[in-house]
Amino acid sequence: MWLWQPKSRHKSYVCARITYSVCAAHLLLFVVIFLLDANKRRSLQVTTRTAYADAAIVVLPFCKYVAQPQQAEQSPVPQKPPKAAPQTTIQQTKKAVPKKNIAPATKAPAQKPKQTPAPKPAPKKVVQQEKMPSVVPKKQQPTAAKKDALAQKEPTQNAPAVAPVYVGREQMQEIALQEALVQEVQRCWAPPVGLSKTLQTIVVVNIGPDGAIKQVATQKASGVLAYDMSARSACYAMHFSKPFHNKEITITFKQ
Amino acid sequence: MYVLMFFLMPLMINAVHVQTESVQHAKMPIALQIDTPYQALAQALQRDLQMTQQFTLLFAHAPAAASAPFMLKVAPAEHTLHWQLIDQQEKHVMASGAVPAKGVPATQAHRIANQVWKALTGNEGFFLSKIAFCKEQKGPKGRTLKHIYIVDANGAAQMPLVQTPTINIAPRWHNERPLLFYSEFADANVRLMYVDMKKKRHVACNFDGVNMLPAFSHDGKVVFSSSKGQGASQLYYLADGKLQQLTKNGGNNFSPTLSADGATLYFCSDYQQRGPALFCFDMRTKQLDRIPDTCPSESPSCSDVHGLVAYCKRVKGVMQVCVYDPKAKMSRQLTFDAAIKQGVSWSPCGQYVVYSQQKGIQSELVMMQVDAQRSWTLLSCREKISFPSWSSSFESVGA
Repeated sequence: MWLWQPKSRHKSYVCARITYSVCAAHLLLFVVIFLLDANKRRSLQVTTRTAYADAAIVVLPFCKYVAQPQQAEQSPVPQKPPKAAPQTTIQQTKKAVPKKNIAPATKAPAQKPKQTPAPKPAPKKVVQQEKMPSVVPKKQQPTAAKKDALAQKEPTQNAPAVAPVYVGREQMQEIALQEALVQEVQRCWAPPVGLSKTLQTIVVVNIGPDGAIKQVATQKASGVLAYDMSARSACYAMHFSKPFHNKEITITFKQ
Repeated sequence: MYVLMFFLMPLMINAVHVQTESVQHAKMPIALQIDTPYQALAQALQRDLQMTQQFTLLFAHAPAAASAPFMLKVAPAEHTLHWQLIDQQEKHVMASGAVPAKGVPATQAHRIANQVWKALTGNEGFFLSKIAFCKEQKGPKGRTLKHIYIVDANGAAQMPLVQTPTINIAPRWHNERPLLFYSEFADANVRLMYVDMKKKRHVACNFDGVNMLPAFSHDGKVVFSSSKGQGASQLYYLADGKLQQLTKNGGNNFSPTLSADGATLYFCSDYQQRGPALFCFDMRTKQLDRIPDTCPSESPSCSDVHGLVAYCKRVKGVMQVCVYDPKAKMSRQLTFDAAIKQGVSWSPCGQYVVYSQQKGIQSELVMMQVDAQRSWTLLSCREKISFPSWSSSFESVGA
C-alpha cells in the first residue's frame, strides 16, 4: 500500500496523524481537567472577608489551592471579626508578597503543604479565628508553651504578629472577587441605626448576563422589616462587575 | 489552551457566597401617601418617625419618594385610620394596621407611629410617651420659681403641668399610670406630690424634711428618699402598705431607681465618700455594693428593657452622661462635649436617653440614640431646664 505512494506524501501523512493525535490527546486532557475542575469549583464559597484580614497573604503562583485547616471551613464566621477597611486588606496583600517569600515557593510550590501532613495545632494567640496553614516556617513558630505564656501575659492586646497565609492562585482570585463584592456591598448598604446587633439576613441576587439584576430574594429574613428591606435595597443599588455576570450571589448581611 | 483555561476559571463559577458587616448607617426613606385633609396628621407622623433618626418620611409627590423602599399609606375609614406599609419594589403589602381616629391629629399620628415603628424595627413604640422636666422661671419680686412642664417625645406640644408659685422639682413618672410625682417646696418641708393629666394635685408623702424622687417597679414596689427631719436622707421602701427603711447610714441617700423586676435598687449616696457615688442594693439579699469609679455621679436611671443604668458623672470638671452595664460591670461615657449635663432618663424602648444640658446661657433638652451616640436637641430655651423624666407609653397621656 505504501510502496506505490510518493515518499514525501507518506512522511506528511504520518506527521499529520501524529499532530492530530497529539492535539486530540491534549484536547481530551483539557476537557477532562476542565470538567473535573469545574465540578470541583463550581461554587465559589467565599466564607468571610475577614478570614485573612490580619494576615499577610503570600501567593504561591504554581499552586491552585493551599489546603486550609478544616476549622476555618467549618466555622466561616469568626465570633467578632474586626471591621477592617477592605482597602487596607488589599494593601496588606500587596505588601505581603515580597520576592523573598515567593522565590522559595516557586522551587517546590505544591509540595510545601504536603511536607507537613499533620500540622501542629497552632496556638490560640496567633491563629485567632482562623487557623493558619502549616506552611509557616518553623523559625517563626514559637513553642506552644511559650505562646500560652504570652497569651496569659497579654490577654487584651489586639494586634499580635500574625503569620502569613499562603494561598494558591485561585484562592487569590477568590479573595480579589470577595474584596470587590464586599466593597460594593459596603458602599451601598447602610441599615438604620439602633437595630439589634445580632440581626442577620441572607439575600440571594440573580444577575443576568448583561449585569442587570434579575431577581432579589430573601433566603433567610432577620425578622426586622427595616433591616431586611435595607439589605434588599442595597442589592438593587449595587453594580456588579463582569466576573459576577450571569451568576447567583448569596450575600449574608450581618449587623 | 491551558492559559485560556486559567483565565476562564473565574467565569465558570456560578454561585458566589459572601458575608459582610455594616460599616455605615443611614436613615431609611419612606414615602408617605396620605389624603390632603390630613396634613396635620402627616406632619406629626413625619416628625415622630424622623425623630428616631432611623427613617426619613418623604411625601409621595416628592421626587425622591419613588426610590424609597417602603410606602406608608394612610387611609381614613369610619372611626379608624388604616395604614399599610407597601414594598415599592415588589408592590405588595408588608404590614398593615388600624388605629382609632379619636383625639387630636398629633395623638392619632403617635398611635400610627407606634404601630409602624414596631412593624419596622420590632421594638415597642414610645411615641405616646411624654417627657416631664423642670423649668426655672422668674416670679414676682425677682423670686425664682420652678415649674413642671411636659412635652411629647418628639419635642412638640410643650405645656405646663404644675405652675404653683413655689419651687417644684424632680418630676418622676409612675411606671403604669399617667401620674407625675414631684417635690414641692412647702413652708415646713419639701413634700412629695403627684399630679394627674388633668392637673389635679395630691400630696403623696408629707414627712418632715425632704421627701423626693420616688422609684417604681412593675411589681408595685415604691422606693423614695426622705430625711424625716433627721438630717440625712434615707431610702424608704413601700410595699403592700408597709413602710420599711432601707438605708441606715450617716450619708445622704437619694435618687433611687429600681430595675424592672424590682430586684435591684440603684441610688446615689455620699456615705463614706467625698461626693455622691452610685450604689447598688440587692432587694432580696440586702447586700449593698458601691459601683466603682462613679464618684461624683448623680441621677441614675435604670432601663426597664435591658437593665442598663444611665447616670451623670463629672469628668474633668464637666458633668457627662455615662451608662453602666450591671452584667458586664462596665461603664461607658456617652457624651464628651463641654456642655454641663444634669439629669438623665431612659426612653420606654431603651434605645434613647433624654438629658438636660446647659450651653452658655442656653438650656437644652437633648435626646440621644445610645447605640449610635447621636444626639439632637428637643427643646432649647433661656430658662434653665432640669430633671427630665421620660414616661412609659400611656394612651391617656397623649389623648
